[in-house]
Amino acid sequence: MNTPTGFKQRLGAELALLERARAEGVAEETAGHGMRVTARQVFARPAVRRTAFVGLAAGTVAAVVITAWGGPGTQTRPVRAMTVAQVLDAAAVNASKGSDEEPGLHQWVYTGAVVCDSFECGRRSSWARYDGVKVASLEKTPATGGRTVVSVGDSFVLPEMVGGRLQPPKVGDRPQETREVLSGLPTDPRELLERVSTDPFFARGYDPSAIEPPVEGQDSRHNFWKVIPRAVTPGAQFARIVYILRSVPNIPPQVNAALYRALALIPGVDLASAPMRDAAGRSGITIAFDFQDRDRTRAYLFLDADTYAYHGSRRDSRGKNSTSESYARVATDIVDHPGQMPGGPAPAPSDVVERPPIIMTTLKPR
Amino acid sequence: MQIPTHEPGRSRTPFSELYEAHFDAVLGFVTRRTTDRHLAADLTADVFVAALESFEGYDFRRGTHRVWLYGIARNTLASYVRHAAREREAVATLSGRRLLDDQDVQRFEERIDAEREARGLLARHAVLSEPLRAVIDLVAVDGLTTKEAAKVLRISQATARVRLHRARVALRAERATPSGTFTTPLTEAAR
Repeated sequence: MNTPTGFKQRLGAELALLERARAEGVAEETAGHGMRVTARQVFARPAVRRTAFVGLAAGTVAAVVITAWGGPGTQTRPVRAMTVAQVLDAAAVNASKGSDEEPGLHQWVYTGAVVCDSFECGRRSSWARYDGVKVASLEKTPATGGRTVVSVGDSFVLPEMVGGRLQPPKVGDRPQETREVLSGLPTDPRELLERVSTDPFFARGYDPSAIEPPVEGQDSRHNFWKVIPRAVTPGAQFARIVYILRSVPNIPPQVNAALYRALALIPGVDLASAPMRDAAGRSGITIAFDFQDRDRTRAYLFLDADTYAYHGSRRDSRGKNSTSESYARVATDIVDHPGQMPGGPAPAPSDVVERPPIIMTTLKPR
Repeated sequence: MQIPTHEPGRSRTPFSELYEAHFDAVLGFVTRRTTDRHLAADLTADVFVAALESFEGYDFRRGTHRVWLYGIARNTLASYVRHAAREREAVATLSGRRLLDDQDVQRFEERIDAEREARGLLARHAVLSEPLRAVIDLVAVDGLTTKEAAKVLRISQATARVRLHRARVALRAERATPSGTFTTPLTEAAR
């Protein structure tokens, strides 16, 4: 029989949660008003809705259904029919249904974000031309006469020097190239994780467990924090995948799905014990990772509670100098002009200024 | 130790077991009546949510679990047809299509494909009046006995038998003089 087993298991898990929710709190509460509790009412309640969504199940669902439905002994236990694997599987299912629209070469990818450091938060609007040649942002400086203008300039990604050689562009640097590489990735989560962990194109993201602090009293000219090239660690894998999710707003749906499933394969990835808000103040599902470095760095990935879409990420270090960095993507879309908001008009030509090109005579690829 | 007490006619089977045992039957009932995989997923979810909501009131004297679920499935689909997709979108909260992954979509398509013949039968039954059609659909398409169909429809077995007979006579007559056009029984295009 052609049974859609994944669907059957997920629906079973949701029904189990619904049954539990009806049996517990909600029924009592509403019974006082002499009303019948319907599934719709149960799901309409924010708390229950969230639980149920989190309860969406993956490969391990059979077990979940049993736990959730259980026998009489399980009745008093709180609902915890979710694992990080189930949440990430649900995120994958939803990601696979995302848009696969590729922008035109001269169209722009708009991203609206809230970025926080240890001290303050700011909204940031940016545009990247799909061919990777130009970027734009909003600027308000004395040079612009105090007006907010759209500043368009050459895309310039600070080239990395390794061993005296300039490194080729990496993931997120150029939208089209990034999408091309991503489209060619395997969609099997294990193969994808292997590839992302080893391909230098994905060597991005902050892995504090791979950084060695400067030694006191050393020659100050070389007193930089040194990145130690290391074997593939869970920390590096987590950092790389979160970096892809953050820096590429239009990941091809099947690869996006595989990225979420790959995250579930990394040891130490778990649901945060307490819900957190992202930089934009939105609550949702929080996935946490401990780098187990000397600064006890903890990273978080925020997903939408309803759609599991990427909301943002955060990193807290609790070392000698506590630092925190948080990023939330609040909007992204394809537009025709730099400075244009999704659905909005093109900005007036007088509001667009060209940034002078940056000339880097000293840094030339050998 | 407390001795569990049960009201007569109340089921002691947990809902989870009923779900496991009859998921395929409900899915079959739905996929025989729609060619849209997403709609099929939504409706399957709807049937089980409705079943869960009325599970406390289930009385085995009025039919087995399968018969009871078919009754709910019938009502769910009928209510879907009456209210159309737009309204459903507004009230549904457990969206079945949200639970589908690629493999499931493929399986739904296979199921829908496999039920082509049943949909042909349903289409042929569309020429009948609703009371006759309801009985013959359940017997000829869903494979229930006349007794079970009677329970689903909450009519007496005698009435069910008479309607089934009349339906067969009418269909034979229809075949002798084909009218050529009849409306499709279900909203295959509705989304």
